[in-house]
Amino acid sequence: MYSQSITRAHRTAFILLIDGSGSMAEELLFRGRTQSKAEAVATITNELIFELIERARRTEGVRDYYDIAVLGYGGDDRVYALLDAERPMMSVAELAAKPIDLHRQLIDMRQPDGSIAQREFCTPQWVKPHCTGQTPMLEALRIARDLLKEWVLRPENAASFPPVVFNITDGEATDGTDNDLYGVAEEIRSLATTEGNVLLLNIHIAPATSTSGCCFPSANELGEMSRHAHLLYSCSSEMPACFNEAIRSIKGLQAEPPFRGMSFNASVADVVAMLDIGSISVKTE
Amino acid sequence: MLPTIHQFMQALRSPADSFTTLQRAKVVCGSDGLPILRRTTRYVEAEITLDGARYLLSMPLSTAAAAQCERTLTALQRLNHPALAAVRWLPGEGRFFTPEGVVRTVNLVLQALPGAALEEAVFRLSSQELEEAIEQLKRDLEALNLAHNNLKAENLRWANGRLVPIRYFDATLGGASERDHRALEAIYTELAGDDEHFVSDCDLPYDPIPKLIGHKWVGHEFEGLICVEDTEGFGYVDAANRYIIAPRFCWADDFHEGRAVVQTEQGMGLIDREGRFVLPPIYEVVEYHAAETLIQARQGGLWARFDYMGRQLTPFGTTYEV
Repeated sequence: MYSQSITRAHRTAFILLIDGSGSMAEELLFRGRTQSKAEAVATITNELIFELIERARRTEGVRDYYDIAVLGYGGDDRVYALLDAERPMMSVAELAAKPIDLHRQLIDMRQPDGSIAQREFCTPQWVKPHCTGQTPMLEALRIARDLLKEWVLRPENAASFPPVVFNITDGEATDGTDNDLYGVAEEIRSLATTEGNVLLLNIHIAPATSTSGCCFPSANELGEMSRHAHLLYSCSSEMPACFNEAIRSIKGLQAEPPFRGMSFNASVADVVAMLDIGSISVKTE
Repeated sequence: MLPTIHQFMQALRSPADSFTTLQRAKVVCGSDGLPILRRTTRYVEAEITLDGARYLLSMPLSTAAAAQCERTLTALQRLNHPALAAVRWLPGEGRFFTPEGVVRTVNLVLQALPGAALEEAVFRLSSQELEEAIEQLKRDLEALNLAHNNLKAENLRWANGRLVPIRYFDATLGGASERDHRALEAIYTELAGDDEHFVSDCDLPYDPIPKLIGHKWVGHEFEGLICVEDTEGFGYVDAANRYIIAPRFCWADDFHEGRAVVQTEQGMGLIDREGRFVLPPIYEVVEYHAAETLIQARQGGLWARFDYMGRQLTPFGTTYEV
């Protein structure tokens, strides 16, 4: 289970759900800088898309290793495709071929002596900060469920590495109860290929007293986090045991599984680094 | 846990903050200012220059790739032969931070890039020279008892009249490989075509950088931008000689960490990559120390400090550089 390499013959899919509701205008401390939740979400999303595209890039161009959908939710209870209004899901090669904006980003770099120096970098920007209206997270999860239901039923995807859903939000859904959210999350997690169930990862963006984020928490790390954090934790997939070693190398060897597919004020682009993307043409062992 | 490609790209753009021994490295960037990355399934690579020499800096993308690379390079370091490009395993070279703010290090591979890429140099080689070089490389690999295991045109350099393989990540000691021989023959078939296309009788020096013509003076490339002097003044072009910042300054320095010191008739200032003033050009002197993000400006003989965004940190109060 979860051992299939992601190749052109065995593609997988990634769905990114992006909270663009009015509450995302609230400011928080993210990576040492005060910024809106929407800016933090855009940063995390763009880093994730960058990582997905670069992991599929080879000398001759970007290979079709997976399909990607990026859906925003907000405004007047709307769920909308952020990459292409006509086609919510496209191949990574199609996404890489789309023109992109470069965004100037100010980043705090830690110096060897511990001090902080500011650096300004241009980074590709597929998704811009957005914050208006309601939080129809339930509807967004339902649309993701429907997209994936159709995807896993295709014969060519039957033996693929299961799709991964990233839901990036401050956790305050306005179109359903906690039970509704839990229910649709359960439906998503129950979809499967022969390689395993769909993984649902929630990235929770919220103000905190601590300046650092955390990822893949175990139950005892939730502590006094908000009700929304606890709900997202319950909705997230338990990470398969094959990822435990990689997760412990991020969190420290003292961390004990099971780990949940969730992060708090932190990117989960590391998840992409854990996947076995691309076939290895050189066999020497 | 190994860093992401995004973190590697960020480290390349801020080497003084992110590397242990490669702090003076300059990464080759495209005109958009982004480092030019090359990808395989197991490595991400970027070309850098360090003290005037060119290198390939590689980061393994999985712990399995890192372990195999370390084993291979440790074994190869015992060999010393002109057919081998210098390569070093740099333990703990890269530094990055986890979401929890904990510092982590990553092992990198630094490989010298001697001469020119074969795919570029081949245009001034005759078929016979290429054939002789391939036969010489076969003999070299047999003498070294080495199988490269991943020979293709993009993994060969042309230096000092011979073919020098690079990217030894999958090499094995203990016997030359029949597979290498077949690969070299395939390279010959692919590259040695019609000799009419070869220009070996023109002994022009190889120069992969297109000539930046039409300027009174041309500087070196820093962060994808090249300072040039024209009749209108100093400005910046990209590697394709397109103006990124129009020539309008009396003097201009190179870009470091996204900032460059410039001088106008009104005074000295600091600009960003789009030519916008971060510090207006009203000062007698502007000193920018990129590694410390320290900016000092002098006005009326007195110095003050500014931050990276041009915000004044200290009043004009001293008569010397603080």
